[in-house]
Amino acid sequence: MFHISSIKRFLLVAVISLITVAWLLSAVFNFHASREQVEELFDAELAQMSRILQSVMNNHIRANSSTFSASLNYLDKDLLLETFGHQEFNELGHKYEKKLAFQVWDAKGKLFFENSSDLPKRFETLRAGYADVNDGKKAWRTFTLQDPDFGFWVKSAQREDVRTELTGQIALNTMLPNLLMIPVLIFLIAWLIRKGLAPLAQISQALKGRGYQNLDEINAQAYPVELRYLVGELNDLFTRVSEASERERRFTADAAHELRTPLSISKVHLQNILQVSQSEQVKEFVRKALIGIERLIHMVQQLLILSRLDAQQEQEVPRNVALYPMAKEIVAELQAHQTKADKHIVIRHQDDCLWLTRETQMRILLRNLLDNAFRYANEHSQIELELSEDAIVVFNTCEPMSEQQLAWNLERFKRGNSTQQGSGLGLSICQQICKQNNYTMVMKNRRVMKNRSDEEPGVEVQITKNN
Amino acid sequence: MRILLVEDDALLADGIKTSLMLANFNVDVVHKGEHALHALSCEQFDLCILDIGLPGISGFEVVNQLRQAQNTIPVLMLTARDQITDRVKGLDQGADDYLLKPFDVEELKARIRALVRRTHGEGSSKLECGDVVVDAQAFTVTKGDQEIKLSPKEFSVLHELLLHRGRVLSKDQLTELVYGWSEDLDSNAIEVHVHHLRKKLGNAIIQTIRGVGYKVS
Repeated sequence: MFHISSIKRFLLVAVISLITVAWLLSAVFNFHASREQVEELFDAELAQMSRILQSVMNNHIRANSSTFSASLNYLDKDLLLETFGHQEFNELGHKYEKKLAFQVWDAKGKLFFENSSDLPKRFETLRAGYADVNDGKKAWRTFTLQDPDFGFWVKSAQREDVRTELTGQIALNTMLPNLLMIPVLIFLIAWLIRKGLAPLAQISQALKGRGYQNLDEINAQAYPVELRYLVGELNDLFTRVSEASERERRFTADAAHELRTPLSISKVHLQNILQVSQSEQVKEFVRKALIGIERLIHMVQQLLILSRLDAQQEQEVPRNVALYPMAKEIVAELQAHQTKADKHIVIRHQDDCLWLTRETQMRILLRNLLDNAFRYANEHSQIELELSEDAIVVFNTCEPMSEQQLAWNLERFKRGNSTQQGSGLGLSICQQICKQNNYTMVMKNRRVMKNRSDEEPGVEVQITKNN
Repeated sequence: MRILLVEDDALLADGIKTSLMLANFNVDVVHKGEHALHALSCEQFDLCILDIGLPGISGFEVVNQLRQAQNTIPVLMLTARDQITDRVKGLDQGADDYLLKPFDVEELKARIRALVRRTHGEGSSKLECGDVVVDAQAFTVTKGDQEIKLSPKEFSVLHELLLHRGRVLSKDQLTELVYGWSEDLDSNAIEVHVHHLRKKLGNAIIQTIRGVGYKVS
């Protein structure tokens, strides 16, 4: 079974090809049929002319009450020639009239008269009826008859080349309207196919134009009966996907939500132990347990953010957001929670850096980028945040990473450094936000000058707007 | 300071109670909204820590009913719900503050102190009466330049009287505020604490209103 890549193209090619082939076949048939009909007409014309001439001659002989030979004395040859033509005809006639020729022979084989010297003059070849004569110079179609009363022969002839030209022209003339109709027909077929397939194009457009999260139903009633079933099935699929997505989102949200209470229990009791314990060793164990709890809390928080991103995108309308004031708030917040004040963030910016974006998502994006840089930056280092109208760049010093590690960092639950307290979700959340807002996120190694002679390796995350 | 903790999770309630008691708060626990409404209508508390997701009446409903009954006790909502809509709803129903689980115990204590201060119109955690200064955050009492050592219960009695400055607190009210429900105590325990406080800080600081109770002017 052959593969159809485009229904419209397939229908256009198939229908136009079929019509063209059908037209060609019918044209060939019509051409031959027309030629035959015209030939028949010409033959009839020849016979008619011979009979008229025979009748004129017969009447003339009867009128003179004589024999054929005697009557010839009274026959006005000039009048005959004028009537049945040899000289040039005037504008009232037809240009092919002069191509008609005739001969009149008496019963003994004497040529009485003729209007054209081109027609072969051989009495012995005279036979009643139609014949094709070719003397090597010209081909003729002839009709011969003998008068039953006086025995004279009348032969009328027509040049084959004239007949062929005329029949060809007449046959072609019958085909011309059909030939002219072909481009019109092709145009009409193309228009009808396009019109007929328009609902399919509309569905494609409706599906193409919607965001990947838009699972709203398509109005099936707006489409022809043949497509309603398809649209109905699509709507069912949308509903199922939407429900599955909602279930997944709710599960993540519920799970994260339900984890908060047990996490609170663990944290409160561990903090109580830390407060009452007299043993430094116990306190040390509890501190480590608290670090684990904090990591879990962070992960739960990130899971909740992740589960809500889709809903936020639908609910929040993009507006102009000043990135610099937002970044300042986030930096202050992050630095306030820093246990060791050994890392600091420098913001480089152009004015307020207005971005047309969803504020909540942008806040999450900036926070996660900076939080990530904080976690993985070298101790006693500087984190750089560059803001511009087109890009956000966060750089922190750390060991250079392989291409595989850089790719891993953008995957869920993959942490750049296993000794750090990340959830492995921060950058994948950033990537999802970028995807939803049509930004590109790139993570790459970069070296900066530590001092005049030394370079320091690090990692840069760059967010740029897609056009 | 007497706090009513309304939390359906017994383990968490126990942890919070322990934390707060270690910080010298007097904490009583109930696990249902109905019980909280009953306790708050019958007894005196300085603050209520209220979970939202309670069995039966929700935390939102509890705070709503409290405010409808003209009860102005400061309410700190404690919940796992972090959506802004939940916070707004809680605050609109009449809660005074909102703390998200999982929280840091130190933050909880600080918010409790801040709420109580705001309720009593105090600007800082330090309460003064003459040359006596009570620092609820540092848990210290000074008279002039001298630090006075007080037992936790003596501190609580003095702190409650200062928080309710100008008002007479009966012996029963003070007992409730300082001891709550959980402890067995002698009937003259408050009198003993007041006696010790007068001994350490001077007789003038606490006045006895005969047949009614005690007050700090």
